Amino acid sequence: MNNEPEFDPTIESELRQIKPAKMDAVLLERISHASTNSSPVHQTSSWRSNRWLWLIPFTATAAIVLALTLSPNKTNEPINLSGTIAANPTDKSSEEESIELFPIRKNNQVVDAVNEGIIQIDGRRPYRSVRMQVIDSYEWAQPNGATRVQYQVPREERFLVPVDIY
Amino acid sequence: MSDNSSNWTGWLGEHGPSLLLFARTQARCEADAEDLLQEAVVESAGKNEGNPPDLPLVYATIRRRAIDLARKTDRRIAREEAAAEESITCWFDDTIKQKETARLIDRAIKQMPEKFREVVILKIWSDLTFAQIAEALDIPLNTAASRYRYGLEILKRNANLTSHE
Repeated sequence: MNNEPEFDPTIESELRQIKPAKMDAVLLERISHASTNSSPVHQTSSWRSNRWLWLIPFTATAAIVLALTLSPNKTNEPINLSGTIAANPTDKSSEEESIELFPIRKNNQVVDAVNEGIIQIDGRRPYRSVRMQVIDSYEWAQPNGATRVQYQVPREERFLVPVDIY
Repeated sequence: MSDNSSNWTGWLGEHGPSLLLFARTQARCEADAEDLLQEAVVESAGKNEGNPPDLPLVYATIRRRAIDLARKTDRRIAREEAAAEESITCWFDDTIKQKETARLIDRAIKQMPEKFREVVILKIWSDLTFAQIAEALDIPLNTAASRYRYGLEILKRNANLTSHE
């Protein structure tokens, strides 16, 4: 019972004597179980962390390729079909020659757009949350075509589209 | 875990009927109301580190999810409304001695316009303050109070309730 003023104490008192119907035992058990065992925060964080796992191989590959390609110690040797590079790699590592790469292609591919429903932020107007999953592809190459680097960076953007509720 | 479980059972036993009553006013059918209630409780608990949440937050979440659900099923509205039957589930405890009154109020509540009904239910059976109702329904406090006053008048008229003023 709160301490707010009552508009019609008699009616209000009479109405309060009527209790809402009790919850079905099955429903009570269902909600109790769901509340105890599946905290959405954990679900969400777990889901989010799993969702970002797919970034790891892409970014790792991109980082390794870039590091190997753009490193000042990296040798720039002609392609040797006879396989002597593999046979004597340490001799070649001392050679210092920079590689000049130029961007030749960039592409953005929308992989998926997930409608996450309507959300409300701090009591402001409602927004429809849309999560866009995009893969940015980049390609760099030497002018002579001897070296070519491709890498892909997946990213997500969340757009909040204002909606009106009637 | 068992402590948490018993907390939840107690909390749901105390507030579950009022929450379900409100969910019923927001949903189109009994199954939707139960789903709304479960989703809202779980979501609100998640925001409260898995503990029983504040009631106004749960009411607000039920309402927001009901709006989402209604928008998702918009294309089915016409078909559903055509096939809609008045809910036969009595929203109030009609197993007690005030069975007739409960049925009378049940009918009157279901006939009320939703904007009045939700305020009356939150005030009378959920025992929220007008400030909490305003927060839960995202309306100004004065609007909540005036809707309550009109709702009470409608309910009094529809259920033939007599005040002793």
